[in-house]
Amino acid sequence: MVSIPLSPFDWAIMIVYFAFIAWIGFYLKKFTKTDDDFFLAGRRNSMWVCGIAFMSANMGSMEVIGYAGQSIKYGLYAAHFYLIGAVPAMLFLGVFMMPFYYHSKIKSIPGYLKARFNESSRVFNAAMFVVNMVLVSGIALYLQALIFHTFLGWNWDMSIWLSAAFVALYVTLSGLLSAMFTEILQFFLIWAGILILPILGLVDIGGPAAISKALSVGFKTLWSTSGSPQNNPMYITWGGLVLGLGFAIAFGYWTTDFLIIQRAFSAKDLRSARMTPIIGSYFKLLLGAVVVGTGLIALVLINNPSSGFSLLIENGKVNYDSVMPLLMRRYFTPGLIGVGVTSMVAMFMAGMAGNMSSFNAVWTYDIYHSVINKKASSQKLLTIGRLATVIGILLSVAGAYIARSMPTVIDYLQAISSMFLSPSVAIIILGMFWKFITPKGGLWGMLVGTFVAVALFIAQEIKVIPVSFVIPDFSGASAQSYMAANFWRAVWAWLISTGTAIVVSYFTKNKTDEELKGFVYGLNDNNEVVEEKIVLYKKPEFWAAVTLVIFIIINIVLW
Amino acid sequence: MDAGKKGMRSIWFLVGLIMFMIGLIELSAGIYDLFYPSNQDVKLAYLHANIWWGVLIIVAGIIYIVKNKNKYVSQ
Repeated sequence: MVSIPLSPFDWAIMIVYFAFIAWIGFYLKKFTKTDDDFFLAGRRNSMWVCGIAFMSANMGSMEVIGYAGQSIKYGLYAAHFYLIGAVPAMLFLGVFMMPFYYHSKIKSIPGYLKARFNESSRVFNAAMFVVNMVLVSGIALYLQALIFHTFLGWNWDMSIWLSAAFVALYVTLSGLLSAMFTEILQFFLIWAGILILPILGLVDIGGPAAISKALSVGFKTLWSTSGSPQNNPMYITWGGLVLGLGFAIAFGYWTTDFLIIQRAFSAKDLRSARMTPIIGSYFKLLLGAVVVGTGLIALVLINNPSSGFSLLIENGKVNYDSVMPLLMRRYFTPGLIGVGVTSMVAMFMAGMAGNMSSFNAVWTYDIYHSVINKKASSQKLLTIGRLATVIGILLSVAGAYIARSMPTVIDYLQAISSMFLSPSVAIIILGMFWKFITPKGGLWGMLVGTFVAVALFIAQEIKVIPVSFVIPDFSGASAQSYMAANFWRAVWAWLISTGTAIVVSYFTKNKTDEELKGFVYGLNDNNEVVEEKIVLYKKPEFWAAVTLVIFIIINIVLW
Repeated sequence: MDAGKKGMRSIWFLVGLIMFMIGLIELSAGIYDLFYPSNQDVKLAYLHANIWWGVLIIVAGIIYIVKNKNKYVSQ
């Protein structure tokens, strides 16, 4: 086992961080009086608060530590998770979808499905979200315990229970308000810990030119080797990347995952809500550069035996997730190690707090209030929300023990997305932009799409079908294309959901235009969306266009 | 959460506070390390990143504290 030696200064930094976060929980408790305060942070936040909290909820240990490891495996192809797998969907959310979400005054995404379709759609989507959240939180908890266990030498069980107890404490105390406050603090701490890593790494290897010199073309370009799956480390074609990652998975996560969108719902006005994902997109690009850059630097060091750098090997298996902690160990002196370890803890806390605050909102509003107790008072909902946090964390602890037995968490994470998020986004986008889709069409679309995706995944895992089964022939099926299978499974889930919804809608009764007003494009009754009279540089569309230009330039330069 | 007269402290003030505290400890570690170098095998230790990175974090913290010290969120 490898452990990072911590000096008293490093411990002091960690203690200050924990004490500060715990104090925030107690401090904010007196400002959390109603269920709106708890679940939507009182709807009074600026676009910067929402945008940073939005991005911070996404900066969990999986997204940072996990994807740095993926860069070793997939080279620059890992950057697609930050580019085509994020930016277009984030901009679409801000420019087109947010007005519907924000104006309908919903408290959750399932709440939108109820308003657009019916109660059954809401409950089904809420149940899927809750299952998804427990699985994802379990992975996050496991990764955090892995860091404590492997690099600090702490007992595995103690690491997991201590982390779980701390998250339970502050989310239970103040809900989303506390989660968002700490997410913003953690956002800055995460950057303080990771931004310096690629800087020192580049100095060590001799600048960016060393990356280009040391890596083969498949590892240092984004698209030029995507014509054939045999030419790139992800074993995928551009079709799978664009349709699977860029469309089905990215839109599923960024436009319908309540975990992150909840931050935009707490905005003080529509413009702030629309700017939330657009501000997030700039930080997403920067995060991609830091995380993938760090991974590529490690790849250069691994390819050079004289560097003395190698990944952790456990039970004969390479642990890709060890890249970032091992680089910190290589470059970080006392004090910096404290900031580095604290930033890894902050990633976990930010991700877990986000998971739990959205879990308790969906459970309380869309399952408890909708099915179990329709007459519950605001005070009762607040109590249920706090109780849900504790139960959610206990379930996540169970999920963490399951995740511990999994081979690779990122591949598994994308598999979860393909099953639970892709069918939902297919129906939400279809319903939002086409009034033809009926309530029964929406419900059956989600049900059939989810069932097929889960069945395909289970069949693949128990080896009834090969990994290549879901990959079309023209996309070059390969037994090594586990990630490609996730992307294509998401595409099929999307198409099956869409097809089912259209067919069922053809035979079933629809709502009237009056009932759909405000929930379907073209039937919007709020002028604020189309007639905002503000200067160009304050418009969300303007900043979305700037991100889009940067996104296109990056793709061309690294083609 | 970031404007108003009395009530909750501005989040940006709290961001400044924690960055200042953490930067200060990091800088102290860097200065201590100058006089009593740790015997760990750390690459690029001669760059004393903990000193200049600590100073940068302190400066960022001070900017946030000064700009937001009188801001409260109205209730």
